[in-house]
Amino acid sequence: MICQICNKNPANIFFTIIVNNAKREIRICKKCADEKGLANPLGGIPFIIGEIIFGMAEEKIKEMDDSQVSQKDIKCEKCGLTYKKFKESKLLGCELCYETFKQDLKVILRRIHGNNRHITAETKNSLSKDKEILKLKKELNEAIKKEEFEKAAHIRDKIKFIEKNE
Amino acid sequence: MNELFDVNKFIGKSSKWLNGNGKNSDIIISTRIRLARNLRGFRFTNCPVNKELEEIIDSVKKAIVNSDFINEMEFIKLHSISDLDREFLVERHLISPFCAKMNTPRAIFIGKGEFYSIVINEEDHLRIQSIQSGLDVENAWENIKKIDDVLKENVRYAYTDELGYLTACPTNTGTGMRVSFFCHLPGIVLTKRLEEFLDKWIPAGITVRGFYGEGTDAMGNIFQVSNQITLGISEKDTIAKIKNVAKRFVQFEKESREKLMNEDRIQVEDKVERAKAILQNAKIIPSLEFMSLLSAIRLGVDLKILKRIQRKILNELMIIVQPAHIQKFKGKKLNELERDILRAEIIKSKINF
Repeated sequence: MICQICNKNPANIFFTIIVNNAKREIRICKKCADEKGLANPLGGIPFIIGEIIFGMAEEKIKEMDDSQVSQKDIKCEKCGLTYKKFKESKLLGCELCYETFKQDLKVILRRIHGNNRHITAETKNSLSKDKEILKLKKELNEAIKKEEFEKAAHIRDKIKFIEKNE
Repeated sequence: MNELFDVNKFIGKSSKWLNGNGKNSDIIISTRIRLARNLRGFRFTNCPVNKELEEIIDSVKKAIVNSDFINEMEFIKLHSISDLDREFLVERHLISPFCAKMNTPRAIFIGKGEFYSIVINEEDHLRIQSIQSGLDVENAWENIKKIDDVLKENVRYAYTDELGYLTACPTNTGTGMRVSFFCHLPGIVLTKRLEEFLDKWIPAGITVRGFYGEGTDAMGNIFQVSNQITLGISEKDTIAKIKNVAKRFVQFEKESREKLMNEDRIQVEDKVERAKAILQNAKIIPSLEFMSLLSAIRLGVDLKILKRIQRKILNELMIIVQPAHIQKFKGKKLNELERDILRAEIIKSKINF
């Protein structure tokens, strides 16, 4: 049996995870197990589990109608992450990506969590929206005064994001 | 806070959460909660900008310096220590293998007794972790909440009301919370009832990770159970769900051990005594073999076949005979055979059969 990660070495570690009552058998070699942090049974929750869960969500997405998931080549304005790279790495590049890939994330999040709205028992949040925007606007004026335009653009992005999302 | 903190200070000290004291610690080794957080306005570490990452480390440092935690925290810049030192921290469950291999600016705050830690600039800007011995979700939650609250007052988290905490991977979006426990299940594995148990008793939204199959107890019969869902379920409900699942594991494992002792007592005693004989006499012990033997010894202690051994020592051994720990202990790089020989010696000196 060949390792499912490198497809090269013989697999000698058998690893099973159960996600949503679906069993996944993973057969891997010692080298890949070490690299992915799977060799240590007491190690943290390995990244690969995230990948598997994500992968399962994606499999379901593929079965769905194309109209539900956009295949457009979109790119995040702030961090430059493309949809293709997001699919490959399973990781977003910045908080604005949640806005950029909003339509697709709605589907992906629902597939992963069975839900796409946050629920919390907590109400305490750091600064109130108005206060925070006021503070940022002050910082923005100062940056412009000092001709630190890169910083100013950065702050302006933050303000935009807060106004839109909270 | 010691800026020049040296990883070497940990050698010979064991993490306090390994004390083997908590509730149900004959079955549940430890309980862990981790929270994933990102700072507003900065790119995630998937699209790293080193200047921003440095800024993040500085702002978290500032938050900690101004808090009550400062006196009990150690700070280590992970990009300025050696590969072996990072491996050492991986073995202590303080950083992930993923974090050990990155090459961007990142750091860790380690709390007293290693009960909690904050890793900065791993997959997310912040990964806050809290570990307790045995089944103890309450204290793990209480401790982690204190740290989260202090940070929340000092830095701005990427958060929206609709989606909660915005994390790099959509599998963590929402609460950003992963609650997990490690459990030792020799009874369920030896009675071959694992599949039956998982099918019947484990609800959806729970992930079980373990090594079994051909070489059954090859990896020490240790399983990790965690919540899978972080969006659309509150922190409180997640905790309740994991506690409930943990209780099922404990109950089923207890029943299985009773069944074993009633039906196969002599085989169990034989297994335990054989493991003891090997650990007492062998000159070379590879790490995988050790995990398997340790499982038998632990079962022997739990079933009172071995009466003199403390569980705490067994927990500690799991950590200190790992490759990087052995090399740090010896103070030099060792090849596999040298490590296996030293492992056999350390085990003999630690376990009082």
